[in-house]
Amino acid sequence: MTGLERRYRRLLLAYPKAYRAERGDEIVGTLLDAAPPDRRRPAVRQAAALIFGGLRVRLGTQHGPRQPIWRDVLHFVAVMTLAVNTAQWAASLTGGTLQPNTIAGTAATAGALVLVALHRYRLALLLAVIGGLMWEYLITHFTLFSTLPWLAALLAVLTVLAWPRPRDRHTTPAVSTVVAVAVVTPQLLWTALPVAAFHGPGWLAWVLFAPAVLAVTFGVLDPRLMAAYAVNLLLGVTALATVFIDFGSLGVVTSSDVIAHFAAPLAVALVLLTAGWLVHRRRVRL
Amino acid sequence: MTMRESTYYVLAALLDERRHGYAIIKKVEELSGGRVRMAAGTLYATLDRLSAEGHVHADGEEIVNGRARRYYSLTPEGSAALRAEAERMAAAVKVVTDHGSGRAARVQPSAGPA
Repeated sequence: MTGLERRYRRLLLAYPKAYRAERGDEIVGTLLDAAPPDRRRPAVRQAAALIFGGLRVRLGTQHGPRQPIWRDVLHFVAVMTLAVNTAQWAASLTGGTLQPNTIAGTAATAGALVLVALHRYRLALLLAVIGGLMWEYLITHFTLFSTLPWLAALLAVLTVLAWPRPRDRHTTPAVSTVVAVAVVTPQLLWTALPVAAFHGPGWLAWVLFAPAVLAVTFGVLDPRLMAAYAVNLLLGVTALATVFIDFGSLGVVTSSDVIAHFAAPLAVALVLLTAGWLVHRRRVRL
Repeated sequence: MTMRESTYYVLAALLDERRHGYAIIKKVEELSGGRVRMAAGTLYATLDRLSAEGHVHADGEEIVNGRARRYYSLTPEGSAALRAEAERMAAAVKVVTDHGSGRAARVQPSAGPA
């Protein structure tokens, strides 16, 4: 085996084992046929195509055609919103109110998150309702700001349940679910950590743009995450609006508050939705 | 459904005979006048998509100089999809060429000597 072949085979590790067993030799044969005689290392273009191609096969997103993505987008929205709700519960646990009811509420919401990740939507819905109601009765007592996040989670799970199952097998792989949670991690920290931790310059940009960059980067492989994060941002802006309406009536909302908390997230959400749509459109072409 | 340019040329490369991966890459380059140069990863993603849609199918394997080769052929569905895309593009071309010749026909009488 030449050095070039060994390097190509190393790049093929991006593909799943079963795919390599079926097509590995054939792809390497084509790569070697296409390589000039003096080539010692894979060309950057060939390497990038192998890595992206392999990761798409691993994620199950290599077949774009005839796969409507909105049901999957809502699946990831449910994952994101339930992750944030679980973080809220976790924050209440660390806040000194360690009671059986609080533990039960946390477990119910975390359970709903796990069940959604496993596509067990009916049971997830039940646990999310239990977790949400306990949250309202035990912690926040039905304020609009606190109700919106779990209502959003319920709505996402309900819509996934009601949405007709696609004819083709859809894959929402574990990696994408992990990235979906990673994308909302700054939001989780914001929810779970004391407000004082976020005082200082640039924290809003960190909370807003770091996950957006992650969503866009990963969205090249799986555009559903870009759209899901955009929807999640829009839900966050809506929840925040309920607070600002109250503060606005007190006359303490400035125009810079509006730009920072509404215009910027809305712009990011719009960019992500557009980018997700464009990537998806490109993928659904034959 | 519109077709990517690379997909169009991959199907076109299989019009006259079955071909293996490298031969498809070379034929695509030739048919497109060197404009479409496919990386192997892109070619196999395209072939996977086309196989899943029933437009091409694997048609024999062999080992040449120790290298594995699998041949691909166009299915009747693939052939129909390719012709449909060609007709769609021809109709699009006709919109422009007809417009040009119509304009020329209208312009010509006044452009001639008085």
